[in-house]
Amino acid sequence: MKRLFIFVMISLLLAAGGSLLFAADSGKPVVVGSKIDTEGSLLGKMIVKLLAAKGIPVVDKVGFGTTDVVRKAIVAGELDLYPEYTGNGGFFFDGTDPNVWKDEKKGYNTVKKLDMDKNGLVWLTPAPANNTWAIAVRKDVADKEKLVTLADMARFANAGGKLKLAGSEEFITRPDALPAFQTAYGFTLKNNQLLSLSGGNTALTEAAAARGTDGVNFAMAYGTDGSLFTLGLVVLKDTLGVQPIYEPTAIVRKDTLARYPAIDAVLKPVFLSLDLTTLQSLNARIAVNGESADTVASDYLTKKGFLK
Amino acid sequence: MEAQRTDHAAGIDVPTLFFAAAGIAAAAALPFVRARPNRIADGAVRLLADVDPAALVVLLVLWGIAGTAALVQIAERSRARLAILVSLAAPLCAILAAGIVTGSIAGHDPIARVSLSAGFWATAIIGYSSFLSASARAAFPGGLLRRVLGFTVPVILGALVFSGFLDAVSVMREWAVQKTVFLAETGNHLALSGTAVLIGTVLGITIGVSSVRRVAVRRTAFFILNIVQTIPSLALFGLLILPLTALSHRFPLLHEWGISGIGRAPAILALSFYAMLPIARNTFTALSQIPASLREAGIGMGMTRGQLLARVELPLALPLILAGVRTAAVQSVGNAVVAALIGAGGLGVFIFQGLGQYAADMILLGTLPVIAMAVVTDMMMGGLVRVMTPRPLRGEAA
Repeated sequence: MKRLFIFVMISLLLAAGGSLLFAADSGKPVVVGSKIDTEGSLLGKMIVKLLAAKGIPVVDKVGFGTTDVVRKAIVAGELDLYPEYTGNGGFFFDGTDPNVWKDEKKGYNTVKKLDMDKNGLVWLTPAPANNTWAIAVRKDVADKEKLVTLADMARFANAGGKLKLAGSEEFITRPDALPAFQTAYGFTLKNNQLLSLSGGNTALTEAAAARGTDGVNFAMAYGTDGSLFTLGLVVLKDTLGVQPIYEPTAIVRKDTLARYPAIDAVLKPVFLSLDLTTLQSLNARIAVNGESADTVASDYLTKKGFLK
Repeated sequence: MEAQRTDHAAGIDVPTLFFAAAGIAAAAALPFVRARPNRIADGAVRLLADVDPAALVVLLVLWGIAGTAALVQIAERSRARLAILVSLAAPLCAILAAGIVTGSIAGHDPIARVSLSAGFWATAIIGYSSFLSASARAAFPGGLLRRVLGFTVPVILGALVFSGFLDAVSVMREWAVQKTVFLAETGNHLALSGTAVLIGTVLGITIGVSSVRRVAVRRTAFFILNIVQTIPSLALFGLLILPLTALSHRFPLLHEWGISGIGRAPAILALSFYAMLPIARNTFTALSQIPASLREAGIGMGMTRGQLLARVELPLALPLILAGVRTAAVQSVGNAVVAALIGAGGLGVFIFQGLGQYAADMILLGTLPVIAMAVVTDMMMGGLVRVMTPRPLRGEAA
């Protein structure tokens, strides 16, 4: 046992040595992270640029990891700031009323209070764009069948229209996703009307609909996905508000904000400027045109006059 | 192999004939490029005949020559040398065609993407396999010319990449956009896997050496390492997050050193664990195989235990230990990809972002250098094993 302990300690020491080979932190800069996805990289790069321009020392950890990982990292103090979505409060805090997250104001206020009390994290000003789960349809089908809202989709499905939806396993089975849409709008998709991609993301499902893979013409999508327009897909409006509202918001550790109070004022006007279509078009430049998040971020900030 | 080294061909050269037929089929029938209006659209595939008929003719003639030579009765050695030339010229021709075709389709449109398709990759793979097969039979003196020739295609490819000739190929467009990040993450990837192999080597050899002396150590250590080896890397990273976070909270000093539940520490620790098994196992095997007579001779000369280990046992065991390090190093380069998911960076960043955006070129931008790194690591370690093997033993080890 003693040997095992020594062995473990030696491994730890060596790992520490290894880590030291990398960035040695000097002073107390703001460590900015983001999720490892398109919108995360875009918002993360904007934040890095804005803080740096304000003279705040920044460490760029954009593209840090999955939601789970960035979340653990900010709680543990390894990240100081990253963009999160208001509706995810429903996952972080068990036992909250699911209806709270479907209301823009209530959801934001709830997660802001809970995260402050429990983890000392401050939710800054959210962007007025809802990156929620949605259903997108091929534009040619939408035009022909006059599909604008999810109620139209229900009518189309119930009338026996030719319909096949691609979604992730999670989207199809989770009670608050497709089943919630089906209950609220009154339609049921049969197994042969579903293409389940386990672990699939919206890039895959949207591509399936755009290419008509396996007869798919409807797809799981996110509200701010940039590729929808290029792929010839339109999002069906959730008029009944079935889904939680997911507004991108920078969250920052309390102590970091106390050290650099300017962060709030610097980020606020920028996040307020990011509405749904703006985010879609910026995301599209990254995902469709293949520009780097860095370029798109500085381009936007300069054009809008946030950066000189 | 010796039997084939006759001065006159004994009949039809089946391998070359096969490669030539496959090469002709790949060039003529497989799509050469896929042209897409933007990064995520489906686009359409094009045959080489449609986009660059001249290149198709050259490829058909090249493979035709190799195929004809395989059928007629000429000296085996000239036949093999001809096959080698064709094996190198065909991929080169495909690369040149790739640059010309992609440039003419997408040269002026920054959003359009032209990626290389099955026809290109098949030509490259067939050329490489044919080269290996033919050069094994050509019997070059000392194999030197073979090695020099083997490097011509990679070197020319490198030159073309840096000259900008291939800039319109879709992967190169990703590279142009990601250049700075790419270099940083490549360095990260090397540092992650390199550190892990270093730690794995030190601890692996220690475990291997003590396993020979004590049965208890052997049983416990190999039991643990074998189990660890079966845990998928992402799961192992996940398992390390909690205890490391707890440790770094309990001991702030560890946190200052950069050890925490997320980021490089769990990645390096997990990769080191994976690296340990092949090294420990090979060390143990190598030491157990040393004839008792050699040990006794050492002891008879008055060597202490340490001297015996340092002067007799380890030098004899070194080639096999290094072979373990070789396995561990190649494996670490591949496993380090997953580190991107826990905030440790590395080339996995491009693979996972590419998967998220359904952008095959971005995935390729992460994958190609990982493959290159693995191949180069393998070659370098292979060379090291050869050099470190005592001369009389080289025949069997190399």
